[in-house]
Amino acid sequence: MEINKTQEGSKLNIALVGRLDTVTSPQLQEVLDSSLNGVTELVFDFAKLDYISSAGLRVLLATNKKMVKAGKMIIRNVNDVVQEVFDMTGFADILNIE
Amino acid sequence: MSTSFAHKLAVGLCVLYLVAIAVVWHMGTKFAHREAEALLKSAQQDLFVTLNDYLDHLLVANALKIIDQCGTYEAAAKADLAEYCKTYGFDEINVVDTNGIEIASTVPIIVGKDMHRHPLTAEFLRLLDGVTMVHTQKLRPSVSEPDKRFKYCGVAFKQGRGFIQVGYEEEHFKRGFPIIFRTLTQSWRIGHKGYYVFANAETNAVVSEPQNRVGLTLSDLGFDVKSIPDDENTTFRQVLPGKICCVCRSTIFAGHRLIAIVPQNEYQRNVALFALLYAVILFLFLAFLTSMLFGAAKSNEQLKASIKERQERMRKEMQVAKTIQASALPCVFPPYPNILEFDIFAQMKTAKQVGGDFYDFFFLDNDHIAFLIADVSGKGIPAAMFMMTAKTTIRSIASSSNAPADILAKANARLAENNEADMFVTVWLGILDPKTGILTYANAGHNFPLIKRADKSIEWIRSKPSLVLAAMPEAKYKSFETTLHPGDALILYTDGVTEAVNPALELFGEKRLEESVAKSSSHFCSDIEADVMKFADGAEQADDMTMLTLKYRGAPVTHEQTFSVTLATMPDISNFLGDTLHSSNCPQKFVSELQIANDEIVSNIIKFSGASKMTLRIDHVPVVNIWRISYIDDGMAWNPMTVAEPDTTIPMEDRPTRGLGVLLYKKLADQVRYVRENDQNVIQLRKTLRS
Repeated sequence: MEINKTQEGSKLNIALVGRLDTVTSPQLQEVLDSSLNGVTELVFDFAKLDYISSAGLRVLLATNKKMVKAGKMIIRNVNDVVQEVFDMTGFADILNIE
Repeated sequence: MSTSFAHKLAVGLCVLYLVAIAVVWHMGTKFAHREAEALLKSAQQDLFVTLNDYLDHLLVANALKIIDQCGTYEAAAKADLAEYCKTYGFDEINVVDTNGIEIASTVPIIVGKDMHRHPLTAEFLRLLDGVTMVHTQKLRPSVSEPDKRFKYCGVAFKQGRGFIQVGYEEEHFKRGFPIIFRTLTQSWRIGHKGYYVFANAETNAVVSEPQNRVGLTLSDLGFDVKSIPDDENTTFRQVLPGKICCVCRSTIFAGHRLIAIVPQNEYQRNVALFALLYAVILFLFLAFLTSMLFGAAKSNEQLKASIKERQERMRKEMQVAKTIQASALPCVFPPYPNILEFDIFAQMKTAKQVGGDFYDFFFLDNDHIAFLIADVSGKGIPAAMFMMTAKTTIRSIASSSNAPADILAKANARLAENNEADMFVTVWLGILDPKTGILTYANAGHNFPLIKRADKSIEWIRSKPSLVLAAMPEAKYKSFETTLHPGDALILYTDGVTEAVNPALELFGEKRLEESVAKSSSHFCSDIEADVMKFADGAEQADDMTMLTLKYRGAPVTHEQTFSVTLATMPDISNFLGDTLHSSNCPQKFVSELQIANDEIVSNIIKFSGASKMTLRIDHVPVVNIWRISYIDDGMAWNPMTVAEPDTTIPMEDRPTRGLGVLLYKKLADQVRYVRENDQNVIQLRKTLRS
């Protein structure tokens, strides 16, 4: 999976390309662990994300908890499969999806 | 007659009874009243007669004394008549000669008068005939002194040679009557309790009365004097002290009022007795009558109840037979959810009476599925019983053979053996090899089935039918063969379908059945049934309607690969899955969904099962676009389905994420199944690609 970061001050944009699953989630976790210091706004761009599995959801959940305290987290451009997963698991009510 | 009617009748009879008693009482009272009246009348008459007789007797006796003393009329004429009056208490004495002339009298003006002069006096002239010795008259006004009332009596001298006439004046009587009454009538009774009361007509002073209350007035005794009628022929009532109601009659006699009294209870008692007797007899009669009526009503009720009971029992038996019949047939659908090659659906709609239709299907071995439809002749419990026998016979014989004709022949031999009731059964039996689609079948007198091919064309399977089962033991049967292709549907039915009638008595027929099948795309049985019901248009269903549909899907296309169970192989597994799906042109969403499910399942296997190897098997049935993905691992026995699903309503912070994966793939797939087979875990997902 490709992870593309762009930072503007305290706003961090992360675009994912590929799938966020058991194999790739640790990769994202690593990137986030090292990038979130001082970030008050985290924006995920899922335009090129094929799908997400429960491993990915866990990463998002943990990140969301952190970012809600530090500022905010937004997810953009989810496709219908990703939205379906968010709906089925109840994550649609928790995450800030635009 | 119903019980309620009998009740009403009984009530009516009771009312009638009471009314009858009342009528009898009333009439009895009236009758007794009249009796009392008659009694009073005769009592009155008795009294008169007695009194008159007494007075007559008195007069005559005294007059005779004078006759004896004088001897002849001449001597009597010379006697001192006034003296005689004093002695014997007469008020008047007249001596009459043989010519009827009054030659002597205490009343001077009478002397010389002729007795012939007046009818009343002329009566006495008979005393001159020499035979009549005595003649008496009632109290009457005197001829010479008309304002006085006299009673006269005449006694003749020997041989009718003259006579003397003596007279009492009423006033004289009046004075003497009290004593006469008392003497004569003191002990007289009328009936049991009736009696006489005598009082002075003017003063109403009582002169004679059984309790001897002389001197009191009638009012003192309790009489309502004003209400006593003067007419001696009227019966009237008096209520005497002690509430004694009496019936009375009153007469005036010699200046005295004579009252004859009968207390009411005198005759009431008889009425009471009579009414009681009547009541008892009537009661017995009515009791007898009502018991007969009730007996009839009751036995009628009992009869009705027993008829109802019998009907109910028969209905229940029919119900039981129907339940047995229905429960003998496989009714769980789909019967083989893990079989992809075909699907069977069957239904039976019974007519009112228990019929004899049945269907059956079972695996002969791993490679052959047998299925059949049948129709037993006749209805009712015998047909149901024969149906059970036929079904079990065919099944047990089928376990030893693969050829339909052979199975039917053996079954026929066995059923025909003990067939005393001369029942028979039509059967259509097919055996399918799901891998190849080859269908062998035999027909024992049953309706021809039809196939709807994948290209929607209809084909009837008209094989020459063999004889129905159980008719003749030596009957021969023949097998035929055809091939089913993926997407074909075979439809079996009984004649309850094709011979269903509408109100115009037309039959549903094969043509309409074919049209129904042509219209239907998937749910053949229910669509055909709906069409038949519409056609029948309310006409009663005469026979069981049974249908069995076998949809052949063909052997699935299988892709399979084994992987080692490590994190590193996950991408390979996922790609294998994705490539396979894409090669059949599955849309990306479908593929992604299955890949997410795959990720969850495989990661759990890696994490928890301890397996070293895992086989991913993908079965695809193109005709219906069913995908079945199986994960077979050699890890320890662990059913992922037993992991509890997370409660997605609990706030995020508190929610455990453990079961999230299972939740996800359960929702992404149509069906998930876990089984432990051959020491392996098998997780199967099934998902249909819908267009």
